Amino acid sequence: MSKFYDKHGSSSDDSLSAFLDNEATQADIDKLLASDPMYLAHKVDCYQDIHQALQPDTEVLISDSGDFLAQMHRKMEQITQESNVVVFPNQGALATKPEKLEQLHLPNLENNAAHTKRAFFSGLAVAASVAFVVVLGGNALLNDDQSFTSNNIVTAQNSTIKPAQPLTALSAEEALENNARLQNYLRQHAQQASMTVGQGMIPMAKVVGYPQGSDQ
Amino acid sequence: MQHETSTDEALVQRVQAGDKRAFDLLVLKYQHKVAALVSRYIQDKQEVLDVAQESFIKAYRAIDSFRGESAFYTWLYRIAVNTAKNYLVSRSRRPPASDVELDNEDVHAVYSELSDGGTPDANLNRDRLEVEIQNAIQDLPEELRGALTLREFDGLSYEDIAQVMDCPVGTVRSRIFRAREAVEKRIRPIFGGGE
Repeated sequence: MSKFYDKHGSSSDDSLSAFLDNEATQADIDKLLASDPMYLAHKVDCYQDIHQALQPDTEVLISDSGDFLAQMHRKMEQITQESNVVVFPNQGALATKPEKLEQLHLPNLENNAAHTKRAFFSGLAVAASVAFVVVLGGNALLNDDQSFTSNNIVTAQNSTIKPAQPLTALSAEEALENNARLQNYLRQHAQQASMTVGQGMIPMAKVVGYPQGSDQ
Repeated sequence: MQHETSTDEALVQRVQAGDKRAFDLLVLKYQHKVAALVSRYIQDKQEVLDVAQESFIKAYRAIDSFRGESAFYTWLYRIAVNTAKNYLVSRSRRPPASDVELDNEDVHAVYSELSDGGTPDANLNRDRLEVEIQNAIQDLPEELRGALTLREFDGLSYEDIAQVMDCPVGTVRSRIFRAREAVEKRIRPIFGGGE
């Protein structure tokens, strides 16, 4: 804390004394404004003590003016931060200045309506195209009677697949051959499944664990 | 009183122009008076300080609206009274039926029964300080003691004191200042204060 001296050597204490007595001049004000507020607060407390000693029926409610001032500054700062508004009076216009609406990113209603209309018609066109293809394909299928002639139907009589025989009717050699074919089929099936199912190791394990017969 | 109005107006104009230090001066000048006024509504000392600070903050935020149609302290006291009343309402306490007198000089007097009185140690220190100040004033040269007493005890202006003491106003100002400095030098060791 330090007092302020002007060019005439007069201190700010003299100005503060007059200021508190409502007798300050403009020069006193200038001198006080150039002084440390905490130092002035300390002096104010001293002068207030003197005043209180001469006026015993009064009570000193504020014993530390510096603390009172500092607390008030903190509260002002807190309010400013909470409200996010600049409270300096010379910037009051800035604090109350409304936001520019055109800066907000509101959707353009005109463009939005046009976009909706365009999407509706494109969806309608797709639906119409699908319906057209379905109707056309259905008609072609129904009108093409040649494709369902009896000549195109594969019957069991013309196929090369042998009908199954009971196991008791097979010889040991044929049973062994059939079992080998079955195991081969199962192995191929399992390999194919491992590439398509994703859990292919499981059927492969089953194949490995499958009873192979007495010859293997 | 002319000085008071003009210096207050000058400080308010500076605050309105953005000089925050000018408002600090106004706070230092009126803090005790505002606290005394608030204490007529609120008894708890800490609450009094909080409401007094809130009053100053409200005044600062609203100072752009102050047009000088009344004296600054009248405007400030009105804010303090409203703040104290609102505080009581918010705490569901009833404010006094009638408003207190907004007299600048009368605000000085705050009766001790309205406050909590402080701790025994604080009261002891306060009593010791008062005795020391009384002794220091008694030890002052006659012209200094007379000027200080007329100002502090009788509340006379410098001009009135100059007429009573038959000396220039500048001399009165100097005597009062020197008297305060002398008393302060005596009480400084009690609280270990210094520059």
